[in-house]
Amino acid sequence: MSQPRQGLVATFTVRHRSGTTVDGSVETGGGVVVLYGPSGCGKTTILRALAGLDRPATGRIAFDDVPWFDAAQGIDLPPQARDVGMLGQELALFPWLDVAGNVGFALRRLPAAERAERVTEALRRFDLDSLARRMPATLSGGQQQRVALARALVRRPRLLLLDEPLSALDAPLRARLRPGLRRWLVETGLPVVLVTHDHTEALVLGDGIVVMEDGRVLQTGTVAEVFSRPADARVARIVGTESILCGEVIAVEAGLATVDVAGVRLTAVAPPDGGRLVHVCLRAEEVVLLRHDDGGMSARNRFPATVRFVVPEGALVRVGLDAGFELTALVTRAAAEKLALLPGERVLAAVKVPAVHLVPRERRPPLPVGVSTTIPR
Amino acid sequence: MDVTAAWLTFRLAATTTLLLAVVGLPLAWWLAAPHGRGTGCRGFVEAVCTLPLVLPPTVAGFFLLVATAPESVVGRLWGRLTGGTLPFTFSGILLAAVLMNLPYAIGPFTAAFAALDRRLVEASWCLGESRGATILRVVLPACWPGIVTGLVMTFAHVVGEFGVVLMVGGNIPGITRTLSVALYDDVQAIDHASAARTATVLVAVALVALVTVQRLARRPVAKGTGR
Repeated sequence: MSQPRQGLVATFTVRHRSGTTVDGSVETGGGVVVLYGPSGCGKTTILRALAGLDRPATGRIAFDDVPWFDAAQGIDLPPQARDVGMLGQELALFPWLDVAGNVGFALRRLPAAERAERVTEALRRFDLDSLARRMPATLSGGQQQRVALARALVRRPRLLLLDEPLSALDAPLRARLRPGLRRWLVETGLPVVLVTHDHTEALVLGDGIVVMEDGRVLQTGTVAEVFSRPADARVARIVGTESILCGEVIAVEAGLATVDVAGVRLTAVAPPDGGRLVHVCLRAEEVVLLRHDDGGMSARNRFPATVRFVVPEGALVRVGLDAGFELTALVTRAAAEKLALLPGERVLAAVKVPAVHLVPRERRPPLPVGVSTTIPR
Repeated sequence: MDVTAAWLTFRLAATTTLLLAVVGLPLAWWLAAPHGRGTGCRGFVEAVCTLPLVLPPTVAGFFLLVATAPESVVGRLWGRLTGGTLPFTFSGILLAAVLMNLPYAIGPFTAAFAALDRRLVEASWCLGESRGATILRVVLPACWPGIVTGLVMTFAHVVGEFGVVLMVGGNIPGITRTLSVALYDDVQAIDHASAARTATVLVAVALVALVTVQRLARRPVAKGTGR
């Protein structure tokens, strides 16, 4: 079953009463697409338009080729008819219903036995069995989030929309919940559109990414692609320039992990939950370039690389390197001249151990945004 | 105590409360709606609904008497519909009570609807519930303390309504003579024992109503989940 336009295809413009406009463009056939950008850039507006809560002025939103909104044809399905699971920034649990009541809210048309079965199944899946009779106000932030997720998924929507799902939680809890949230999102097999302004959240949760600023889409691609190769200086400013490499932890000793990246061994602080497969993140400004190993540097990670390109960026120069993997360094113009960096030159790249960030990843390869994949339902 | 007057007062209060629930809830929903459309019109309607709070009942009663007279527009319409007249009838004091008690119902209703977390409504829509079902399953459960407060306040206030009932209804036993009018009669007739009994009943009704409302106000039902 392969149709040309499976999944979500949306391009539209929302005009706010204040006069600001937001242009949205999201396509996904599966996996998690992250809408990423600074606060107030229009991410939430796009999510609300996809859900049918805000009406775009122009454009078209279609799912599996069925139009949900089409300005030209005058189509605008209400949220009830779009069959989406929406999780707002505020979870909006119904405070007068207990956990089971919240989860089963949307199932009242089912026969009682089937409804109970579906609720039980959802509670079990989100580790909520023991909390079924508790009221939302008595739950922790993480538990409330699971209830909201269970409530949205129990009716088996076709598309899941999440607005800053972890933003209301404190930082340590956020870090703990991220991998679990990613696992649940993958398990649903649904296309997910997730809004975040958090760098790590985008990296851990996302497959594809849409970078936005001031109501405009700046760049679309896989997370690794966009973070490693920002299309222009604006995107670079928003996401930071960062090389994101796939690595494998081969040893952990005294809190330090040895990671193999395309044959190069790097040392990094080991992540708390010791998965073997990791994203290795190197910010361009943390990569130091040398002509020779003068032995006087403290950086433990040193490896040879070939200069691929040199692009001036204001006072700085962006240097593309090939070290068996692609790497970007950001150095001052003076340093670039002193090192006589030219394409084809051999240099030594150095990175301090604390500057190598490891982010756990799964075996699943990221899905490119805009490429349709058939997810069995 | 005048039992006929007590029964009439109860009927008047109950019917007024019912009518104000039917009319007042949709009106308050409209008044509390979040978007900017019709803001000017809304302010005017809100002012009109609040007017009975500041008008002396005799003034309101006078205008109502004139407006519902058999030869007036309202009077003729009523006559054509029912064949009867409004002044000095139960229907007349009922109409007066509904209008005079608009603020006691609309106020708490509007406050409750305005305090409703819109996100709960949107969450319900996104969970597939229609607008109507959302009102029954989300708006009413979230707002019921405010709604009950409005109904209780209305009921209690109608029980004590005096000036406008006397102006529009006069003092006809079994038809327009409410407890507060009967109390006035007792005092005029220097029957202080009967007056005291009636007054005690009225104070009791008011106290019970206020205690109920206070208890409702303390309920945390409409609060969010604290995130």
